[in-house]
Amino acid sequence: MGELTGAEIVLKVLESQGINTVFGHPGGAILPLYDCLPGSSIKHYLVRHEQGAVHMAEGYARSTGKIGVAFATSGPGATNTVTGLVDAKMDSIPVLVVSAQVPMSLIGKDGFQEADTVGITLPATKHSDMVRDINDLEKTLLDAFRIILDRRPGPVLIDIPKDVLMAKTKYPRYSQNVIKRNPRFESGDVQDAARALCEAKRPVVYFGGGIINADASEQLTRLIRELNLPATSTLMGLGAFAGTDPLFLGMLGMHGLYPANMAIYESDCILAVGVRFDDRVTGKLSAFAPRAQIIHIDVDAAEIDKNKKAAFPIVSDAAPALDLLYEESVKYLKEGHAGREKSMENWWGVIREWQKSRPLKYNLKKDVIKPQQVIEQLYRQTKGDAIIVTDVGQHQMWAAQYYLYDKPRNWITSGGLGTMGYGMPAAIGAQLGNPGRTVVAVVGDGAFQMTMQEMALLMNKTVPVKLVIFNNHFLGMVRQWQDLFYEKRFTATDLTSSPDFVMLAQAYGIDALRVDKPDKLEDSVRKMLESEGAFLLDIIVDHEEHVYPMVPAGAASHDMIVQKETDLLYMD
Amino acid sequence: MSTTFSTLVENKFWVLARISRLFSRHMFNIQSLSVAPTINPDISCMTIDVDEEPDRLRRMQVELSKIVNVLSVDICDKNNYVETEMVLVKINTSSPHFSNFLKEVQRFNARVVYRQADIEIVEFSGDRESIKAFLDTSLAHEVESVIRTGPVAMCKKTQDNRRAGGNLYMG
Ligand SMILES: Cc1ncc(C[n+]2csc(CCOP(=O)(O)OP(=O)(O)O)c2C)c(N)n1
Repeated sequence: MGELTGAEIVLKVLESQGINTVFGHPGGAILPLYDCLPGSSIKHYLVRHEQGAVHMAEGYARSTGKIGVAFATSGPGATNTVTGLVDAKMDSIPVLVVSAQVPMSLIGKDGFQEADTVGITLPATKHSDMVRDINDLEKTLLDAFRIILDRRPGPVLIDIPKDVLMAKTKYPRYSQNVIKRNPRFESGDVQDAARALCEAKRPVVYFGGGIINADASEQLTRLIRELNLPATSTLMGLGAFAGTDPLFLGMLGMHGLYPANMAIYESDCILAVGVRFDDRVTGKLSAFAPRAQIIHIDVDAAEIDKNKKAAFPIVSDAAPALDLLYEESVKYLKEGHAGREKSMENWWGVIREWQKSRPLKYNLKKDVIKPQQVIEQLYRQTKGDAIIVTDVGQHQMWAAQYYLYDKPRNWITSGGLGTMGYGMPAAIGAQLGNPGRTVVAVVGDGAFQMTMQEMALLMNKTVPVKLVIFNNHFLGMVRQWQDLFYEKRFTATDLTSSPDFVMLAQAYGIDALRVDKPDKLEDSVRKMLESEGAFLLDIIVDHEEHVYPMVPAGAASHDMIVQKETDLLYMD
Repeated sequence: MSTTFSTLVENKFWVLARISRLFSRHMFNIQSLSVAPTINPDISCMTIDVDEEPDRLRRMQVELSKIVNVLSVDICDKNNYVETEMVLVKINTSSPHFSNFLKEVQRFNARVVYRQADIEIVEFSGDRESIKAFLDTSLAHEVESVIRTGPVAMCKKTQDNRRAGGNLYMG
């Protein structure tokens, strides 16, 4: 046992926890840590803005299931991480940010680049803390890993003053075993829940990102298939159950599929697991699942009854709860429930009718590329096996609707916070966590410009991200709302003053291509996917296209606008 | 209805900020708050009084217990908890009400803690009802000012087993 500096201890603890990739940006206060980096096994990626570092850590974490780590210096470095931290908090992503702070003697004195980082990040994180004493550093960092992984994952920030980074102390003092999740069942009556689920005439499974965090896809799939249940996913849950499975109804919510929203509306029993009844899912709460008994499984007790009262609350990690529910259901059905098959047949009959009468659809045009067509093309050419990372806007919704995700962690998006600028950095993180995989960043021309400086990382041949810009020359999603709800007053949504993205990519040494004709689309996508390094494909898409179905904000979720205004159709 | 949370927390930097911001975030107004270390100097007890709907209280209890430095959270009810609060009352001895006020002080068993020139400060402690009764009479006698600590609460059981669950991150 020797003596190490605070900076060395930070790197040692990260190494002990299996961290080999860090995203960050240096500055004065964090220099002692950067100075030690070359001596460690950790690979550091230099971002161009600390928001990008946190999104990269998120993309890395979401795509690998490991913890994503970012470094930032004091003051502006730390404040730049806030958007990423809130994003990770909203979507329950396991992320650690290590920020440096001015030396202890300057704290509270408005020292150069001093910001009250812990104070600023209290509401932005699951936990944030400052290390005042070198002797507390190792334990605080190990605790950070524990906190990130305990129950519902989330971001933690640890702020370390520069003099603590430079001080020396004994190391190690604690066990360096890799800290793991500890999935457990906490409370709830599974037997009653199983009976309700098996006796229901119109059951639906509504699952979300919690399944992915809990690595409970297998358990979810087994239950859905055994009970022949219709299943729908939140935006965050896509891929937790196979998108190509006939039992899958597609996404629900504001831009959910018609059969999914209708099934929820008509259901008499909903198994809600790893979800939080977000307003973008439920629409008007009182009209969401008005006839259903709700079985709510969540690892976070604070989610139970938060938005919707659960008849069967179950506080548990998703995997053990779904295992128990499966066992209890099988036991219950073994006792023979002849009526169930018939009632499920009827229910599926109703659902298949909805699927037939209101499929997802859009109209192709000869001279303009339809955005939905691009997603379909990507799906076909990647055989559904790429990691799709999106930004926020219309393109995000089309990528959720038209690409079918068969496996968890192939779909990475900013759900809860809806952070424009998330896409490309998160894709870089996903690519670094998954070398050899095809990673496609689906971004809007607006959102891309919020973090496009991170293209610098694509110059590195180890980051062959395929960047697809859905270029409609507008802030499309906002324009859609202006079109539908603000009488076509298109204020401040015109993006025609954007740069030439192809030339921009070339300035970064990245291969790029523009395509604006439908008959050239297939070839261009192929060229992009076959390229060795990173590639930017600037696709000029129809700016008049809207995302449908759409539940207007605050409306009942079965009141969907399913088509463009020419044949506007409000459904009941 | 006024409700009291009794919570054991780590005696550390930021803990109060974490807790108070949670109350504001959920649009609760804290009526009173009292904090001091327990026998174990590393652990403090916070007694927090709010005026809220019962279902919102339950939710706040769960949210509070998620804070890393919070060891336990109880919603105090009369059957399990003893509650007491202290008030200090300042009166000018030249007030025409002074002699009547002194009678009340005796009736309530309040204690004079300071007397100098024309100022007298009286201390009284008791449960919610007696505090209210004492304050009603004090205010009727036009006292100069009143300061309250807010209630503190103690579990009646000998074995305070609220610590059993403990906090995950302490060990
Ligand atoms: C940081 C941030 N600012 C503003 C918004 C609001 N917003 C949501 S979608 C959107 C438009 C996105 O436009 P673009 O990236 O071009 O994508 P499109 O909708 O056209 O596909 C905006 C401004 C947001 N989500 N995030």
